[in-house]
Amino acid sequence: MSRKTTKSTEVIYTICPVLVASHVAVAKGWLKTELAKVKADLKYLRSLPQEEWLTHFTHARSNQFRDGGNIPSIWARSEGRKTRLIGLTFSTDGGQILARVGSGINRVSDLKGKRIGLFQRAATDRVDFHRAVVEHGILAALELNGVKPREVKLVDLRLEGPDHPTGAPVNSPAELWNRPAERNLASLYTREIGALLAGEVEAIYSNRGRSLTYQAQGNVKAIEDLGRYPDWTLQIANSPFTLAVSEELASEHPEVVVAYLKAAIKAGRWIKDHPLEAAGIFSKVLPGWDAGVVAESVTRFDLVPSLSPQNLAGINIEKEFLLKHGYIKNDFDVNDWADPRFIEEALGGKSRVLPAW
Amino acid sequence: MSTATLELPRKTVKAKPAVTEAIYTICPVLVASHIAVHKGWLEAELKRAGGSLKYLWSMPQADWLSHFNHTLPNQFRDGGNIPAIHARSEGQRTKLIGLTFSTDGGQILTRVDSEINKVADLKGRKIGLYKRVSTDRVDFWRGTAERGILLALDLAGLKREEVNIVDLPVSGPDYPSADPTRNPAERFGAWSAQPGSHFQVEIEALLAGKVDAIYANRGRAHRFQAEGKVKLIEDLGSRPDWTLQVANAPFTITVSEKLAEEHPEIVVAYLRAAIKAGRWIESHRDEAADIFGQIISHWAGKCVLRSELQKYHFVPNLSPKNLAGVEVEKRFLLRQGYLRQDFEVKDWAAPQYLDQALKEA
Amino acid sequence: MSALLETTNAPARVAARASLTEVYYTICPVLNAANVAVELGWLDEEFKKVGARAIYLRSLKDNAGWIPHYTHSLPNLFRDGGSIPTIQAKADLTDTKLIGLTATQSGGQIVVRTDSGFHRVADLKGKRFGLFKSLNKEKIDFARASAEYGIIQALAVSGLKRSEVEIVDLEEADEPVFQPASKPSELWSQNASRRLLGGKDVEALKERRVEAIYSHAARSVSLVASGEFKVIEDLNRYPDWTLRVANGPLTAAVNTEFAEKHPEVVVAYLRAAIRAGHWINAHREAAAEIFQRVTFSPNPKWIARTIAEFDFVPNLSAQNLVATEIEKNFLIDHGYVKNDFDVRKWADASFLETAHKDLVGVSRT
Repeated sequence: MSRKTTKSTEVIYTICPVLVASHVAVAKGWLKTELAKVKADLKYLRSLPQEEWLTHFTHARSNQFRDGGNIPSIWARSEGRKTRLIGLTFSTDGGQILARVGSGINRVSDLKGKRIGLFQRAATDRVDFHRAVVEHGILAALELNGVKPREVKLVDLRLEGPDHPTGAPVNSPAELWNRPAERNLASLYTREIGALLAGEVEAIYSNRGRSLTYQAQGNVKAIEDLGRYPDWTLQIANSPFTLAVSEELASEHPEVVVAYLKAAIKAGRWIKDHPLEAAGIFSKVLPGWDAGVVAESVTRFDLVPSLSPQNLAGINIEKEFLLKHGYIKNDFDVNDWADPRFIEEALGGKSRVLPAW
Repeated sequence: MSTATLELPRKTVKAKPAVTEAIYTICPVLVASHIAVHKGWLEAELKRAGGSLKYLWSMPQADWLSHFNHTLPNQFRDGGNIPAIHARSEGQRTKLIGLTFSTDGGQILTRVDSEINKVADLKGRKIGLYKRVSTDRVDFWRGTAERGILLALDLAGLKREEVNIVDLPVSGPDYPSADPTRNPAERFGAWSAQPGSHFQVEIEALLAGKVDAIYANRGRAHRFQAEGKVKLIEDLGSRPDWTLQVANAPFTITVSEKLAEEHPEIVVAYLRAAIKAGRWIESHRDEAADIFGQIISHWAGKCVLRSELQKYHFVPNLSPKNLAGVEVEKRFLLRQGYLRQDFEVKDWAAPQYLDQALKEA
Repeated sequence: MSALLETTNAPARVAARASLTEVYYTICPVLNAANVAVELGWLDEEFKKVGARAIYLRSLKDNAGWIPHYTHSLPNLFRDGGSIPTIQAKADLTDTKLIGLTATQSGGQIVVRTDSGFHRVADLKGKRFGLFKSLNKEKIDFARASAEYGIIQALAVSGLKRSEVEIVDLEEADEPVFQPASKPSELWSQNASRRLLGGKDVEALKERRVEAIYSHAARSVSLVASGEFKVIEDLNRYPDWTLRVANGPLTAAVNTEFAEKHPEVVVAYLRAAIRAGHWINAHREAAAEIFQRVTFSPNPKWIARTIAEFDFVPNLSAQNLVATEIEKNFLIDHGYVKNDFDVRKWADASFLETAHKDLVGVSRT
């Protein structure tokens, strides 16, 4: 890693297909601009050869920003990878349970003795975050409805094969997620809906964005919606989304980290005032999401990253779940992982650890 | 722009010199056709296509049954799907040309002074269910309420046998007066002026203590609650399962097959007006609330109308989900004995008119 | 037409304005049209037209306005806000008329610790609910009554009986001291943070002396934001409107004797409220900014979302009167109020009718 010289710092970024301000910061060019001010060059991880892409989950590179699902972030940290947690975005509603129309399954309690699909990734080179999200949602729905896990049959829906239909490099998240194959959900997410429609299982879990797209075909319906409950912990689903940076980059170039956050904060604030345009940007990076859900989500959630007490408590809850269910091996202290100094500076010195309401 | 030689996939149309009269009828529900009538767009589009418009209820009372049975050969109908499905199942030759899914499924009401707080508390209690004595047409009111009640029971884990469903029979005329009216606003205005109409039998039975719960759709439920004597213990519209909102909806736009085959340009014209009206509603929901409030005056007030209009799409379509909704309704009606014969919804749906209208609208 | 103030609490300076009818007003920190009418200057405007002068009750020195806010112990007082004190005042203390109702109260929520493992009220079987208890005997314990009603409703919809949970009293001296203020927004800014995050019930929940507490929606937002708590029941989410009778609908009341002597002043009050009600209904975001100043709310955006479907024009609708009746019966059954009375006879719609007539044809901006 280069010291502070007149040479520019190369920085890699990668963002999950989720609702985070980073997507807008990229699309509007603000990320590039802010980083250029501190002599950093921005490069999208997926513009590198496919062999490099695993670091989206493992955070193996020393010059990397990652924004998105917290499960891989938490897993990487738990595996000993040194990263700093610099921001959080809580923009999920928890997801839904889907059943086939006309199957006679109208309530979660009707699933006693029935089969619920549980995604399973065959390859083990990284944490199976999707399985974790699905398992978390299913267990929450069962508990809310007074059904014990042993009263239903959780059926593994195994997916062999690659995460992406093609490894051809792309220059931005929008390019990646707009590829016809990705948009037609010919990726890891189709395993479950396929199993439900084929009658392999009686119910599956899905996030609401994709769930409404499925329902538009008229053959499935939602029998539970975790987003309709007042309990905020039910809305934890691979969220709050973590913005993390490699330890090396943070300690050698803190100004670059602050610059990233400035761009993300700017984007988060802009989204509040431009919901229509923001929805347009997000629709390109949320494959398979129903347009109405995208539009609603950009006004419903606060996409300015923060390290608020509630968000940190949310990370703890996710971490506890992952530990308990064997997705991660080692515990760690979230307060050691979170480093609020960068976001404080990006906000102009104001402390962000007060309630963000 | 002349449409006299409009070409559609199936038939070419012979230009007819005479004006084709088309009869229309619309239920008191939230559909774009009402706005199309109110704003004069329906009349204008039909005129452009060489047609003229006539309101079914401006004709003698003997013709009014066609609102349910669709016996007239030149009729458009927009509204509750139960009569439309029933007519088709009875062999009536109609085409399904558009759907609007603009209802929330309905609610269950009980008296404020009862000890009942949730549907599960209705175990062993009485639920009132309207029953039309005359059988000259399908009892859609009963069909809608019965479905809502059974869904609510199922959601609460109750079987039908665990409650006492009490029939509330209503005989006598459907309408307080046989006077013709010129348009829907006049028609429904005349109805709501009449107290003790046959739609009141359920709320009256509830208030009199004859039953412990009834079903009602949102517009009526809101109005009933405003008196302070009843409250909701279930709201199907608040649940995530969209099939719960199948309640005499999705609302069907149907047209007599004869009119559609001989004058497809008239059908396309109707849909052009409906599409225009649907788009207008979606960009003027507040003003639309005002207009609907004038037409369907027995519905809840403007505040509730405004919030209801926010929820739905009003441009008619034949989307997979809406067609699936019609299928759900049909299967319910068959199971409960409202229909004698099954039929294929996909054979009934005729998307070519809508496709053409969308190109032109 | 004009009358001198006849209370021993009256500040001496009032005598100088002998040509105007002196009228006191007090408004709770709630979402009602009166609050906005004050902030927009319309209350003063309407009172001026009838030769009256509005004095904020809490402008009296030495906290002298605090207890009368609840007991209605002045002879020329408009009180607008939570129904519990208004109902008790009418039943046991002062003869008043009910002149308007506004159904914007929060139904309330049940709050537990984030780490508690509870997801539903049904999970609280055998557990402890903390319930606020005021030691101040001079005024009605409206906070306790609201919370008690909410807890009972939450238990009812969850299927739990009261006997299946434990209710733990959490005592509080309840003797806040306020500095004089010229209008509500000035008064409430005096101890804002304590109201949002504090309370003996939150303390008890934090310290694990209880497992659950009642909270109204505005306070819940800050509790949740701290990450330590979560809401597991929200009575606002149910279709049943009778669950939401906690200290509401908001009541506007005035002394009967004063109303009979000065009906034009009562009508003026309602004209201001009706005008403000229409304005709020048509300008919800701007109204939210004003409400932020006069209520204990997290932020204007939250307020705007909360009030999106409320009707702010006061009325005496059948439904609102029944809700008031439900509240009254609850208070009597649970020992908060001694004497019964007929809510329908208490309500006097004549002032609202006149006020509406006066406003016909007046443009409402």
